Amino acid sequence: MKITVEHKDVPENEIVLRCRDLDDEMLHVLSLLRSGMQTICGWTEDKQMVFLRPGEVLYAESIEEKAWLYCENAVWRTALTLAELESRYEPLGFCRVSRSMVVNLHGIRQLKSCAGSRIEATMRNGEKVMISRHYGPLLRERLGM
Amino acid sequence: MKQFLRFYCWGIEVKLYMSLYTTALVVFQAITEALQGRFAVNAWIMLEMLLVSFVFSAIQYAVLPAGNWSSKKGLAVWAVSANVLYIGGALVFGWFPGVPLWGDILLIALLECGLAAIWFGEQVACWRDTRALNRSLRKFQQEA
Repeated sequence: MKITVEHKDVPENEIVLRCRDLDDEMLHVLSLLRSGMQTICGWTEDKQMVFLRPGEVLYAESIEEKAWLYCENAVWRTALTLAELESRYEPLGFCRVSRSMVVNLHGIRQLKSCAGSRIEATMRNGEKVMISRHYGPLLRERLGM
Repeated sequence: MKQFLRFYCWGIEVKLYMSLYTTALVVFQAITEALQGRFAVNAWIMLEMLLVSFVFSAIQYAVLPAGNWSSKKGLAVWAVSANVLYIGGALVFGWFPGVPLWGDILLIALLECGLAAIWFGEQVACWRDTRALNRSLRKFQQEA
């Protein structure tokens, strides 16, 4: 695939993909572009709004039917459910680890196997998340084990 | 239904360990009997061993829930319970008749080694699994 970058005085950055048909390679490029542009809307108690890149989210937790996004230094409320987060951002590394939690696999610093088939994940910000016995095999599958 | 399923899962886990511990006891009882020229194991003794193993497995399930061997308090209760129940059971029910004092000491040493082996096995298994998990995680993070 030929990659050309043109430096022009344009009002807005633009990406044009030229191809005969959408083959696997082009679809992959498209999905990368789309995922790179995807943002998750979050807000705080005082209605301060923010658009987060999925990569900024370490994990999401559902507490009393409200979903919260945990970043390195902040917590944001989101309108998305855990199921929506899991299905939309699965290709970006989001993985269900318990009934009330979805973890971004890229936000994990290290994993520790615990007895009883449970797994303890230490996130980039040092927080620890326990992956239940039920969801352990799913995580292993995602990691290609 | 949920209660029943919880009870069923508890039963499966407890019975699994109960079978393991009972088998070990029966094997040692059979060896001590065979060494004394007797080639039969008393059915009552086997039932007593099964009952004591059931109690111990239930305690293990309670103090080390879901096999969480990292709890130091749980581990201490588990080790003390094993000694009290199995040494106590052997004394009260007379599981190893005719065994000399050195034989009793050897059996206790084997019990302690067995307990240590169970704990060590869990630690080694977790350590190996942790290594494999982190290797796969790094690979996943680099590939993306």
